[in-house]
Amino acid sequence: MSEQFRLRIVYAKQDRLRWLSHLEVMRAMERLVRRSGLPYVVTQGFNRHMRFAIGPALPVGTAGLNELFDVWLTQYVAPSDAQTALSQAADDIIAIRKVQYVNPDAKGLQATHTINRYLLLVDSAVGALELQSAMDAVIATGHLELPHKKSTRSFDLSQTVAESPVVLPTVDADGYLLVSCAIVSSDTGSLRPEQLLACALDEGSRIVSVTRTALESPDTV
Amino acid sequence: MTAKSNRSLWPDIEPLLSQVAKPSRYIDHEFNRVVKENAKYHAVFVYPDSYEIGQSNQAVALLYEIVNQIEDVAAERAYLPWLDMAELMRDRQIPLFSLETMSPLADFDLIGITISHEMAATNIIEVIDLAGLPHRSADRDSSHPLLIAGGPVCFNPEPFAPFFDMFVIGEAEDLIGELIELHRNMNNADRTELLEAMAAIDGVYVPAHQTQATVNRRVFMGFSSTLPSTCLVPYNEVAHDRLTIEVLRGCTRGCRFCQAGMTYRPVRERSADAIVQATTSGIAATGFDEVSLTSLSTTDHSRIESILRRLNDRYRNTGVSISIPSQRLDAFGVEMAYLVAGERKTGLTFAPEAGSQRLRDVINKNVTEQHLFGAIEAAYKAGWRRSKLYFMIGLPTETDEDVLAIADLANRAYALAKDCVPDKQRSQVRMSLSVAVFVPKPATPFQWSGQLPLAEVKRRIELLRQAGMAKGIDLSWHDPEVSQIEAALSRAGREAADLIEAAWREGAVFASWSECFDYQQWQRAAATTELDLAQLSERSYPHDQALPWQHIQSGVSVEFLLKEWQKAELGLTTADCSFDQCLNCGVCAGDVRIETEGSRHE
Ligand code: SF4
Repeated sequence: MSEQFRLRIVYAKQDRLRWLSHLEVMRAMERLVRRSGLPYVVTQGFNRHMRFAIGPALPVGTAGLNELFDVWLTQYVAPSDAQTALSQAADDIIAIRKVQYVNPDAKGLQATHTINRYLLLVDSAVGALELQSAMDAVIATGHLELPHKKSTRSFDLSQTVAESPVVLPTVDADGYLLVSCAIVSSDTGSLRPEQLLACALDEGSRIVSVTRTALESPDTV
Repeated sequence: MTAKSNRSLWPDIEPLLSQVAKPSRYIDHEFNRVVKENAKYHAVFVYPDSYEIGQSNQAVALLYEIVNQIEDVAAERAYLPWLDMAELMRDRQIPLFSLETMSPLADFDLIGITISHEMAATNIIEVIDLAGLPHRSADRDSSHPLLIAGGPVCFNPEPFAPFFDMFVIGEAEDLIGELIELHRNMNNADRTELLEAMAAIDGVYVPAHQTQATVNRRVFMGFSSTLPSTCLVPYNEVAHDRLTIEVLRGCTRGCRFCQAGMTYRPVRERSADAIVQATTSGIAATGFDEVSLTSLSTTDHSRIESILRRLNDRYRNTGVSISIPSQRLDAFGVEMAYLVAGERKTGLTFAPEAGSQRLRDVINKNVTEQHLFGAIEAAYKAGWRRSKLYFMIGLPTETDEDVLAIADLANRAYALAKDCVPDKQRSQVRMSLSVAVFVPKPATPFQWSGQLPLAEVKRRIELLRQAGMAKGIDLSWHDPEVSQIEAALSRAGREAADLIEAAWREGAVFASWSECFDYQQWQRAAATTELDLAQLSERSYPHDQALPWQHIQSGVSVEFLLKEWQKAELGLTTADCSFDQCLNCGVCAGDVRIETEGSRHE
């Protein structure tokens, strides 16, 4: 097999695009690569397709500021040129934040990038301190039982929560509280930050939006 | 004209998105969509169905592109929100909106609705109602947008006439610009004056304009010399999620039940060079991994083999595949499909339409058993293991023998298919039979003929079901009740408008979706309006009686249609004028003529 170059693209799924499903994002990114004219690798075999891999899924409605996908190229293209080509193809609709080459033999994004950092906007009926202690109390219980389909799913918070939720000292322009946290994803079903937070919210409060701000590998944290 | 306010409804719409299925239907922002700031005239083209269906429609895509090329004029798109979204919008009093600027439809100068089939009838009312407009043209005034309809259904506009200000009959490519220009020039005219002036445009039918004797279909003779449009790239998995290139327009094979075959004449081909060029630039602009070369009969293109070979060479090992929607029913059709199938031999589609040669002659299908068997043999020997055969039930003159002949033909085709594959693969051989119910359409030789009574259609389907089909053949059929509504609306007069509106009031929307169709809604609507669904669908018109669509000239003369009807009764066939000589159907005159790149071959 001739040499292949694995290009990692950091992009944003935000604004209206947060309403896309994971499958829709995947298709859009593949089409973006074809539109960019980058020399992508086509797999051999029965169903030939672009050699492409996308990072961990985001639910419909959740934005992502630094989402990732990898595409394998047949030729080296300078990262700045690749970024220009992708940005032009993205029509100002998708922001291409960064483009870099990674080791072609590295493990897949879903296996390596398991730390998900989130920022949530909360329209809170209580003040920041009260919300913080409610969240701390949830974390202190050590585990969470959440309804899942017809049964429940249990999460060990010491394993699942990489960084406990923290109410940030600033509020956003609309006066909503900002809460950050980091969750470890797993291939058997990940905890959603809004599920964690919902356990600490009282009835008069609601989560306005959820944004994944970064995807990180535990090795680099 | 209305003054578009640039009021975006997005802040009202976004909070609803977490409560509806497939929110990507409502977010716009697809690659290649056009947003024109500061336009002075605003048109919105609506496909009255879900985004997935509408986004695949070529007419809307074409008009969108053409109108956006006009200086100072902006075209946007709108689709019917799905039931969940429509309910929330009504609850919160959010009107139907366009995608690009998220503006209320009522703010536009012109609303163009494409009507592809009769079952969209109640969706049209739903569009008008959600837009917050009075349903009927007579109740609207110059403060409202102009509401125009186009599409195949307009060859009998009467059932829809009260809802629209005007209809575009035929191909709208160059007509739409004339219409918009006139509307802009008559900015301050009153509505009656405006509509009167519109009626003078060739191809425009204004129902309120009593003096308009006949309206001729518009034919776009620039077709061959223009490139196909570049399509938008949806996020959502739409019905035809691929680049489509219209390679030719018109089909003169002359099937006597086929409205498109009569109303898109004459045959006009785009050149092989243009098709290859449009495919290359279209794939580059969209990023699609499939291109479909569409038309009524793609494998009839005089240069089809060269086109497919050139595209094959161009896209070898790129992961981009080429498809043709269906193929002519002979070994050549299969050969063409083979050229582009590669490893992906998923299934081939053939349409013998009738089981017996007698009935195939009646409908002028001009294919024999040998053609079908030749195609089946070629397909299964070449590696296909699945095929789909289309038939119709209830065609004029059909007898029980003809119905049973469908089963017999299918059984023999299936046995042949099995014989053509290696022993070990025989269990993989599959054939599906899709049976539609004949719906007589205006502007066809069968326009005078009624549909069979519902009970008789059901009996014939049962007869076919019991006819003993081989195990590997799957039989499916269209819902006879849906077909009855289709037939009732296709040849009715203006009285059917009340039926449509009443059915909408009964809750009929998305009636072409089997999960949404409810026959009782239509029965109740018929009772309210004192119309009889059976009478509407089954009535035959005497040849000397004026038809409700008599004033719409489809191009093919009534004399030709009548002659074809008479030949049908005698079982006589008519040749294809694009292969053979002109048969004086009435379409070609002046600039209007067949345009093929080379000569066509049987
Ligand atoms: S006028 Fe003649 S050539 Fe033209 S479409 Fe009719 S039959 Fe064909």
